[in-house]
Amino acid sequence: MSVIIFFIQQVILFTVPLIVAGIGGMFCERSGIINISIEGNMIVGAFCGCLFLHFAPESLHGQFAFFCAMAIAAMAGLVYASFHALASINLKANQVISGIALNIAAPALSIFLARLIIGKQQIGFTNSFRIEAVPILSKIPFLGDIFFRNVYISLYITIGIIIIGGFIVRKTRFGMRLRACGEYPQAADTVGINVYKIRWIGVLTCGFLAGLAGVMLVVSTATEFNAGVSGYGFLAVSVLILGQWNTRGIVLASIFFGVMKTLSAVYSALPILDTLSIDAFYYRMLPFVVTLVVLAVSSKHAFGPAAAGEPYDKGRR
Amino acid sequence: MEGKNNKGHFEKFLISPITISLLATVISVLIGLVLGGIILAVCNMEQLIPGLGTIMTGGIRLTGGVKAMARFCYYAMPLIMCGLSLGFAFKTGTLNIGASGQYWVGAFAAIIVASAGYNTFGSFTWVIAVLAAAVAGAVWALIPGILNAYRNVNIIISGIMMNYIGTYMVSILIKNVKLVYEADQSRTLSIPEGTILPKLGLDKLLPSSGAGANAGILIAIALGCVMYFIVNKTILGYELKTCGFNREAARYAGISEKRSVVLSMVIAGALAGVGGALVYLSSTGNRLPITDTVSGIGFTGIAVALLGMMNPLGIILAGFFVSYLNVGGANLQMFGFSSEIVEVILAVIIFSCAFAPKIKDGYYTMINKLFQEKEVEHTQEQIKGVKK
Repeated sequence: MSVIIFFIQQVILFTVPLIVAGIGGMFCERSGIINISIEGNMIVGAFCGCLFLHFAPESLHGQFAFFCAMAIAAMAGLVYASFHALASINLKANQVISGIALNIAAPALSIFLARLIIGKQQIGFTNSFRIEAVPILSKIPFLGDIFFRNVYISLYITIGIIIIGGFIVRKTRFGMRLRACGEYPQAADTVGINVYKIRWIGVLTCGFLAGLAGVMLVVSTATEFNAGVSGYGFLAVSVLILGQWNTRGIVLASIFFGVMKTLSAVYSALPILDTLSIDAFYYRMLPFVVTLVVLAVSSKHAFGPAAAGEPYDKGRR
Repeated sequence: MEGKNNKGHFEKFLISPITISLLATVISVLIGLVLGGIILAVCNMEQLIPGLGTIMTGGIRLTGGVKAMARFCYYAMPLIMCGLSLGFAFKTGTLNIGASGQYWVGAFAAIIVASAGYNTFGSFTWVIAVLAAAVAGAVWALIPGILNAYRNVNIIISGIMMNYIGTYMVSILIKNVKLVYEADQSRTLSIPEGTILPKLGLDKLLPSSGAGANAGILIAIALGCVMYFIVNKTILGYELKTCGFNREAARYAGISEKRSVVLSMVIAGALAGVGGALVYLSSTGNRLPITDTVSGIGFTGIAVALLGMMNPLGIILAGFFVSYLNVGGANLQMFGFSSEIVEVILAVIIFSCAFAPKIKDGYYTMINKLFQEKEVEHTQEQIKGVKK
C-alpha cells in the first residue's frame, strides 16, 4: 500500500507543473498564437522564484515564502512572454522563430545572471514547503494519505487553475472570444472583438502560468535551480497537442506523461519494475513516441485552432 | 507607372531585394550587439570595452591568432552544416526544427561506423562514416517529412518530438552497443586514431591543441556550394522553391508537393547528420555522452540560417560569423563575464530576424516616400518649365 501511495505522490509532483504549463499553452494557442517558448517562460519563472527563495530572510519561511516565490515567478513569466506577444502580434513575426529565440535566451540569461549575482550557476534554496498533514482531511483513509499528507500547496493551486481555466475557456464570453480569435480572427474582428487585445491576453496568461509552473517544478523536485527545467516546456507543448487543446485532455495527457516520468525516475524502487530492468530512457522516450503516433493518427482532421501560427493582419482579405 | 522605369541606378540599388535583406540582417546583428553591450554595461561598466572588444575580435588577440583561428574553423563546421540544413528546408517552406536530433543521430552513426569499420576500410573509414551519418540524419528527418506530407502532422511539433526521441534513443544505444560504450564515464569510447578526418596540412597552417582545423571545414564549405547550385540552378531546386512559395500553386503546376516536402527534409536531415559526423570525427577526444538534454546546435543553426538569409553561400559566411562570436565569447571569462552572453546576443539576433519582414516593410515605404516626394518635385519643376 505504501508503495502505491509513494508512487501516486511522485506522479502528482511531476504532473502538477505539466498541467499548469499545458493550460497556459491552451490559452495561448486558442487565441491563435503558437508558443514554443513555454520552456523559456518556465526557466525565467523558476529563475526569479528560486532567486527570491535563495535570498529570502529566515523570518520569511514556510508557505508564505513559497507563495511569494510563485507570485514572483508568475509575474516574471508574464513579462518574458510579453516579448513573444510583441513580436508575434504587433510585429507580425514568425511565431516559431520568436519562440526559439526566447528559448535560447532564457537559460543563457539565467546562467549569466546567476553567476553575476551569486557567483555560481546553481541557485540553491532550503526546501521547507512540504505540508506534513492537513488537519482533519488527512485522517481520511487512502485519499487523505495521497492528497493531504506530504504535499505541496501547488497541488491545490493547480486544481483551482484546472477548474477556473476550463470554465473561462469553455463557458465565459471571454473564452468564446478567445477561441474565435484562434479559429477565424477576421470574423471575430467584424463583430467588434479586438483581436490584438485578446491575443495579448492569451499570450500573457500563458507566460503567467508557465512561470508559475516553472517554480512549482523546481521547488517540488529539486533543491537547487540549474538554468533549466529539463525539457518540461516542450513536454507541455506535446501535452497540449495530445490533450487536443482542451482542459480535460490536457489533464489526462499530463497524468500519462507524469506516470512515465515517475517510472523513469523511481523504477528501481518498485519491485515489479526493477525485475523487468527496462532502461530509464525508454520511459522517458515513450511519451514523445505516443504523441507522435497520436498525431499521425489524428492529424488528418486537424483539431487545433485553425488560425494558429498566422499573424493577424487587419487589412488582409 | 512610368516613373518606375526611370528610376536611377542608386534608387534601384536601394530597393533591390538583396540590399533590403542585407540591411535587415545587419540591423538585426546591430540590435543584438547593442543589447549585449547594454547588458554587459549594466553588469560591469568598467569591463565593458574589453568585454565587447573580446567578442568582436574573436579572442584573436588573447589566445594567439593562429590558435583562435583553428578553433574558429572547428566551431564553424557544425554551425554551417546545421545552418545549411535549416536554410534548405526553409526553401520548401518547412522549418526543420529537428536538426538537433538529426545532428545527434548522425554523430552516433559516424562513431559506430568509425569504430566498427576501421579494420575493414582502413584509412577510408571516415568517408564511410560521414556517409553513414548522412543516411542516419536523413532517416531521422524522413519521419517528420512523411508524417507532414501524408498525415498532415505539423512538422515543427514532430521535429521537437524527434529531437527528444533521437537523443534518448542514442543514449539507449550507447549503453547497449558494447563496441563503443565506456561505462565508467557514461559516454562513447574514443574513435580509432586512423578514422579522424584528414588534416590536409591545415593543422600545420593553423596549429592548435585538441580539435582544430581539418578537412571537415572544407567539406562544409563544399557542401554549401553544392547546395547553392542545387537551389539555384537545378529543376529540383526550382520545384522545391515553388513549393515553398505556394504549395497549391506548385500542385497546380504539376509538381508533387508531397514528394518535395519529403525530399527537402531528407536532404536537410542528411546535412545536419554530416554536421554531427564532422564534429565527432575531428578528434579522439570528442565522445558522445549519454544525456537527456537535447543539443542546442539545431537552434543555433536557425540563427545561422536566418543571418545567411537562407542563401547557402550566405549561410557559410554566417556560420563563420557566429563561430567567431563563440570563440570570442569563450574568452570573456577573463573579464568576469560568463560566455553565455554570446548566446543572449544570438537570441536577440534571431528575435530581431523574426520580425525582419516588418523592418523590410518600413524601409521600403520609407524609401518609396523619399523618392516619391522627389518625383513629385521633379514633375512640378518640369510642368513649370513647360509653362515658361
